[in-house]
Amino acid sequence: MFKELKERVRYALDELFAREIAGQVALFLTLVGVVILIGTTAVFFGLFATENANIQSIPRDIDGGFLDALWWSSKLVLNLPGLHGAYGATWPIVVYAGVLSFSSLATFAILISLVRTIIRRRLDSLRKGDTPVKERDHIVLLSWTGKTIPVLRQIAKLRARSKVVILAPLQVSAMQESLRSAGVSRLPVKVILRSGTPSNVDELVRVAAHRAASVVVLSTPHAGKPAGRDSEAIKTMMLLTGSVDMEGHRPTLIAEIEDPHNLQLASMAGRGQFQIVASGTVISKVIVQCIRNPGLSAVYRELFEPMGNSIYVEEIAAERGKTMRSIATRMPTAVPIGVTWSETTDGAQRVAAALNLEPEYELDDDDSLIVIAGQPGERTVAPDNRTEGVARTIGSGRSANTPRRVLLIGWNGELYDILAELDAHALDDTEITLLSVVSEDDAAERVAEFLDAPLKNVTVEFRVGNPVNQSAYHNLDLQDFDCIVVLADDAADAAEVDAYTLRIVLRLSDVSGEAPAVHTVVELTDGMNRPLFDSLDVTDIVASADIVSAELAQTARQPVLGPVYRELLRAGGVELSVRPVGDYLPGASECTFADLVLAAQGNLETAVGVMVGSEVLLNPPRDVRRKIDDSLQLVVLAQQLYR
Amino acid sequence: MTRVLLVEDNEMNRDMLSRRLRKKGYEVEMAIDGPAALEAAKTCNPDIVLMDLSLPIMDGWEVTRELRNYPATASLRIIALTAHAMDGDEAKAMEAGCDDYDTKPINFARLLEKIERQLARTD
Repeated sequence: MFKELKERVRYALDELFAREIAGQVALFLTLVGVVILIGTTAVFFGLFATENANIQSIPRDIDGGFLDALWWSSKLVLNLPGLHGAYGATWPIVVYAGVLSFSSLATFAILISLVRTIIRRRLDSLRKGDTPVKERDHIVLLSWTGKTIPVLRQIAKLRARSKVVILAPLQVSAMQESLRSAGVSRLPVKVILRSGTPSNVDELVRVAAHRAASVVVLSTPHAGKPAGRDSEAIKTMMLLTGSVDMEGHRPTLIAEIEDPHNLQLASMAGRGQFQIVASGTVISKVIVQCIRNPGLSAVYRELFEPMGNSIYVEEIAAERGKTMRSIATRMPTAVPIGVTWSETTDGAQRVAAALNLEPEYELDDDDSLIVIAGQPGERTVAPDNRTEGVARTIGSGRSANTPRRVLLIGWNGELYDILAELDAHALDDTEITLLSVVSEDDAAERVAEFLDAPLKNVTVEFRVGNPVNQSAYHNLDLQDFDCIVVLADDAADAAEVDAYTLRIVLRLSDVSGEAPAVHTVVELTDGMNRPLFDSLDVTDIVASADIVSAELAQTARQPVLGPVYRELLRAGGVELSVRPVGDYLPGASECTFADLVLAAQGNLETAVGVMVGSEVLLNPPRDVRRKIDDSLQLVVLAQQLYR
Repeated sequence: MTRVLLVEDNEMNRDMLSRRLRKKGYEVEMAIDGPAALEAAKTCNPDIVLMDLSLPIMDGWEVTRELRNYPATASLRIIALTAHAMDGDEAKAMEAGCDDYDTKPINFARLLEKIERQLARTD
């Protein structure tokens, strides 16, 4: 019975609330009426008893009965001071006083509601990131991709307390959660999030792109639609160079372009004002460099890890007119690797650079020195009064290893550049086996379509199979290969690519059994997954997002380094290479790094460090003597040679 | 002033070589791929061409052959610049019509000598 009554009341209340305002007003009036009526019952409990005769707030002048009890109850329930003042007046006046008092109460309630609404909207706006950014000299990151968090990590390491504004078409709460789970909130960087579309002029103004120190445009992935790749980035570039009023300010503009086929369009959209990072090309170049130089990924890691040695530009006026050979042998704390200068092209000021100059190059008046060093700062250069060593010329045409048999596992957009780059370096009878889930016909068709030119020096055998399964390796002897490359396969779900790669590497380990490990290069989308491979036989790990992010962040920090990174991370030109020390100093049993600097100069190369086993020592002490054996290798900047 | 057409797709090589040549008093025109090189050779009337052999779209050997086939550019001095390391590459460049050949990394003093030698030719 009670339960049924309770349910009926609850149902009635639900019905009333379902009617929104009208229902709630009706409920309010009903409640007021009921409570006032309950209050009038005080008349039966001695409201007008003689014991209460002295209580001023109990009225008695109307009838000393029900009407006075009703007045007393109404006054207490509604608490309307105006009504209280009208006690004893004529009924119309009482009604007026009641209406006015009630209106005053409603007016005040509306005012409170208004203030509450404004505060709530303001908080919602802050939560959604709708408010205009008032920062100056900040870094603007446009779009949210797998590289956003690595870029933030790099920026935090490169310059603590940087202010970074991120504009992306995501809920701020979703971005906050991603930052929190990635541990970015603990980094020494202030991140300001704004929800919006980067390819919109108003949004770009809202994040104060025109007052920023740097603006970094990330390429948004277009799942399953290769034709749409880079579209948003190119649109944003157009707006930044053509539609946003920069008010005379010139922020450093950097854009990531994934598809190499879009580079020309991006250059047009950037109108010469953008530094463009071709991310797909960067990754394929580094992978091929690692195929040809086992262990090179550790050099890149050291170079791009801001806590270690990094690339800096330095002014050393006193050294102008001196040769690169002279400077290199007299700098104890930095390795000079090239020069940079400003020049005007078509009326626009631009920065140019050159790496691995010949030892006889004399530092020009407008040259700044590019160095690899532990930290930026004024360099000590020893006085120019010591006898220079003599560079030993040991012949030309030296190059890194050239593998003859390569097993490529997996399929992604970088594959075509990898094939082209391997073809450019290949010896005549080089064979590439490509294992993926893509059918043989489809694979051949895609390679023919996306390669800019047919392969000349390599033959490609397509094998169909799931590389995670043992059956895919039937009749395939892994020991036959000089190098195995596991790509971050497009076939895997985006969030699971690295886990898929891990399963493939585990399968390779299973198939190899006790046989000696083959030089293996693995591409990861997230460098944080590197520890998963620590106990496996992997020679090189190329963390694609980390490398591209490092280039983006370092170029944002020092725009003059843009050409340097472009040169190091593109096909052709100068490249980093790892070569046996014994090749440079034949017959010697031990050497110092100073000896190797001279020996490399004799070969028109620039020595930047050594590798002892798997340990990379960039810019090492010059006078430490090391035994020359198979574990000691020289890290050089050298002209990339083609076959 | 001697006019040099520098055909080079690598940004860094292009910047450095053009800068050093200008400081030595040469006037420098530039092209970044094969078709642009053909166009520039016909319009800017260079005295000598420095031709990178690994070019996009149309390689340096093919551009050289085209230039030799076109009467207005048939007698142009052409020095091949290459990062190709195989034996026989020099002969291949000469066969395509180059007058001289130099390997990368560029030794600028050596390249200047070759340029001057070609410009001094009277044939």
